[in-house]
Amino acid sequence: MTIPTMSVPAQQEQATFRALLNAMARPGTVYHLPTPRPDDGIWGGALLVLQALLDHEVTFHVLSDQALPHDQLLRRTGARSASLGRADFVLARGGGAVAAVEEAREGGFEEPERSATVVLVVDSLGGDGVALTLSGPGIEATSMLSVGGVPAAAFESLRRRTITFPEGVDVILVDTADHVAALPRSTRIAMATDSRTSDQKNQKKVEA
Amino acid sequence: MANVSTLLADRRAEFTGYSFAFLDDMAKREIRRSILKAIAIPGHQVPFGSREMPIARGWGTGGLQITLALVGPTDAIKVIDQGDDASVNAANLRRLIAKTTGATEVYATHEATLIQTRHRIPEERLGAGQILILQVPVPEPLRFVERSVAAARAMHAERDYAQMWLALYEDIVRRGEVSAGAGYPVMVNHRFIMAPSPIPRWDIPKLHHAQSLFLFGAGREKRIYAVPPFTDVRPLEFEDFPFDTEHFDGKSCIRCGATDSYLTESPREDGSKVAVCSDSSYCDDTLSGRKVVNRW
Repeated sequence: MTIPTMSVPAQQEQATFRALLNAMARPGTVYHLPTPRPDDGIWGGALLVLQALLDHEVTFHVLSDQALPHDQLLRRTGARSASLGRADFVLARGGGAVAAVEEAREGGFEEPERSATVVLVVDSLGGDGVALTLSGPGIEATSMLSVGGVPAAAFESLRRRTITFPEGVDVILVDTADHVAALPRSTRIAMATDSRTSDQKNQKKVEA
Repeated sequence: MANVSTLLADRRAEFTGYSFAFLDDMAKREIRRSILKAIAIPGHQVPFGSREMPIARGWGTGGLQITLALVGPTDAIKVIDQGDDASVNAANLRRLIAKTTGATEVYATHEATLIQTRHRIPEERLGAGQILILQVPVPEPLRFVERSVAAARAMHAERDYAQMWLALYEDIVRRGEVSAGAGYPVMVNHRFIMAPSPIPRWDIPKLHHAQSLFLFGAGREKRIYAVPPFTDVRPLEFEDFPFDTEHFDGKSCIRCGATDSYLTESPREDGSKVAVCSDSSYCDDTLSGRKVVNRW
C-alpha cells in the first residue's frame, strides 16, 4: 500500500494546529505559523488559524471594517457568520479586541468548552506593547509576553472574565509576522504598572 | 510544464483509498477544536464526535483519534500497551498510524515525538517536545459514586466532590486502604477531579508539573481531556492517610535486573511467577547499558 499524501491545505492545517497546540499548552510562548497567502495581508496568520479550525459545524464573527477576513472565511471554510454573542470563533483587531473579549459567548459552568475562542490580530508579539506577566498551567513559574497593538483594556476584560474559571474565553494572538501565542482561560494575567502608558501608545495604532 | 492529464495520472497513482492519517479533514478539525478547549480547561472532559475506526471501541479509539488529528509525516510514533511496544494491540495501532501517514515507527521513548499509550507512562521522563496520548476506558472519575452523567457534570461544575471524598473515606474505613489501584483519582489545577486512565499509582506523580503535554482520549465515551505541562496534579489523599505508590522491595526485573522500574508479574510454566519491567523500552535501555539520564 502506498502512503496517502497530504494535500497542501491539509499540510497547512496540520502544521497550524500543531503550532496552536503548543501555544495553548504553553501560554505566552510564541510559535511560528506556516507561511500564509501574501494577498491576505495583515489577516494572513489569523486566516490560517481559523481555516485550520473552522468548517460548516461552527460559526464565526468578525469585528472589522474591512470585508476581506469575513468574505474569505465564508469562501474558504464553509462556516457561517453569527452575531458576536453567539459565534464559536471571534476575529478582531486593534480596538475591536475589547468588545471581542468582553462580549464573546460564555460556556457556563457545566459546559465551559462551549465558550468562544477569540482570535486577535496584533501588531507584534514580544516587541513593544502591553507587558503581560503570565502564570498558571503550562507555565513553569511565570512567563512574559508583550503584545503590541491591543488596548490594555482587552486584557483587563479577559482577566475579569476568567475570575470565575472554568468560565471564560480563550484567546489566540496572531501578529503580522506569522507568530502565534495563546492566553487560555486557565492563565492568570498580571499587567506591568506602566500599562497605562503603553495603552496610550497603542491607542494610536488602533484601527479606525 | 504539467498538463491536466499528467496531473490526473499523478493523482490516481497517489490514490490509496484512505485520507492522510485515516480520518477525513472535517473529523480532524472537530477533534482539534475539542483538544484546544481541553487544554484551556485542564482536567475538564470535552465531548467530541468519536468516529467509527477500523478497530473496535474500547481498543484505544479515543487515543487513536487524537494521535491521528495531531500526526504529521515527520513525527516519530511510539505506541505502548501496558508499557510494551510489541504487544499485538500496540503494534497494530502503530502500523495503522505509520501506514496512513508515513510517520516513523520508534520503540525508544526518547526518540518519539508522539507516544500513544494504554495504561502506562514511560519510565523515562518526557521532554517538552513530546506529547503523551493516553487511551481512556472510563473518563468520568465520579462514575463510581454517581451513575447519572448529568448529575456528575453538575458536581464538576459546582466543584462538589463530597461524595468522592466520602467514598475514599469509606474505602479506608472498610479496607484499611484506598482500593483504587490503577486509575487513582487526581485533582487537576485545584479545580477538577480527573480520571488519569488506568495507569498504576507508580505513574501518578509523573503527571504533576511535567514538561510534556498529556492528552486523554475516550473513544467509546466520546470525551477528550488534557493536562498541560507544569500543571498541578495531585492524587486525592487525606492528611493522615497519604497517597502511596506501589513498592517492589527486593524484586528486580528478571530480564534487565532493574530495581527502579514498575514491575509486572509474568507466569512461568511451573506455576511460579517472575518480575519483569512493564516498560519494554526502559528494559531494553537497561539491558544495552544505555543510561536513562532523565528520570521523573
